[in-house]
Amino acid sequence: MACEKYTGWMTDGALGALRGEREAELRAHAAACADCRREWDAMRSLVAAVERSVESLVAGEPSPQFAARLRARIAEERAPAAWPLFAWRGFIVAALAAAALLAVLVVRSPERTRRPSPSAANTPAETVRPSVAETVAAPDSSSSRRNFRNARSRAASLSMEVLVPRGQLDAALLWSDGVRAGTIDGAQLSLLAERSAEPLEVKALVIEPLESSAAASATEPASPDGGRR
Amino acid sequence: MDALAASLPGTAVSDDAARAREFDACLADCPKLAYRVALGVLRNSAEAEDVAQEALLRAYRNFHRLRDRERFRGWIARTAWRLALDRIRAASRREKRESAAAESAPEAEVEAVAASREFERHVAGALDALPEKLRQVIVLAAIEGYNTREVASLLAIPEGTVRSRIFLARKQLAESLRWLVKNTPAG
Repeated sequence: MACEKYTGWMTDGALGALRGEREAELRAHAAACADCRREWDAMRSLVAAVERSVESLVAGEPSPQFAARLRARIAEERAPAAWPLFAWRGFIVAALAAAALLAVLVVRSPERTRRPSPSAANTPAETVRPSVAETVAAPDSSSSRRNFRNARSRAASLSMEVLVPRGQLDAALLWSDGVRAGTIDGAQLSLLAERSAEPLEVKALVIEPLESSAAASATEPASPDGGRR
Repeated sequence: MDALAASLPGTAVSDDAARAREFDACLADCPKLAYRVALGVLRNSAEAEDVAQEALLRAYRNFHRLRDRERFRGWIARTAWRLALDRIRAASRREKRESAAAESAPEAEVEAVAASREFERHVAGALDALPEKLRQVIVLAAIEGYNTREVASLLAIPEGTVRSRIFLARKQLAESLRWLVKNTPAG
């Protein structure tokens, strides 16, 4: 029974964590008990051996190639690190080019540059192509949005003019000029952007009655080709 | 590892040359520390090297985020530790080692056993069975040249906590390996 008590102290004793009077008691018992003395000696040897073993587990040096490998991997790491910057640069340049191209297309579009001639009112009714965009109101619900999209696609298929809010076309023109000249005036752009927020003016569609068109064509001189004949 | 520290600035590009120089200055003996921490967990030289490389590479990638450069070594040590544990978990090697450690009982005397690889295997198994907090401090404390103050600094915990954890770790190791003493024939 006495040996069991001292066995419980042996680990702390071997680790040097036993209080003074207990350590003295354990030593005294070990001096008198051969089995406990042997076990305590073995325990102290075990603790020391475990400590040495743990130290040996973490002892050692990385191989001589370690530094070269690390250097190479860091060098590899640096190369792709620059990639996103170049990618963004490319993206920005592409976006600017696309914006400039769009602006130029809007400005130079034949549909846009075509102006109604003074004799437009005299054009026969079947040749009049009403501007769909002019007749389409801003969408206020999902069904009207769908209708709006359909109207827009019909307008596109008919090569109709695109109704541009006031200020947007000027902004596009200014943007195009700025891109071409290399200078963009931010103040003017913001002023035009404010103007573009103003509500659209929808013009009423005026279609001449067929009779008046026919009468006008009757009173008009013959077509240029017919006149030459 | 001094060669590494000396050679790194040469690879720096001009953009981040200053950061590379600072990283290089912080690196110092960190490759060895990272390797040894990983070795303490993995006990395999090649795997420990891989983990140390990864830890240092991650440190390089995230160096700009580290505000307190004084904590660089602790950062490396903890990263290497975590990566080593991840590797162990991924491969389920820990279970294999624990089961292997519990298999056979030694028959030789403690001193003779202690000198053998078998004994190291038992110690490694017992070390793996320790709770992570205890294992971490005893591995770091076992690395040559690291006292309790440095371990406390590496782990950013009080020195007294390190001391108590080291004691608990050593006690648990001794208790778990005590059967070696019990099986030692009386002589």
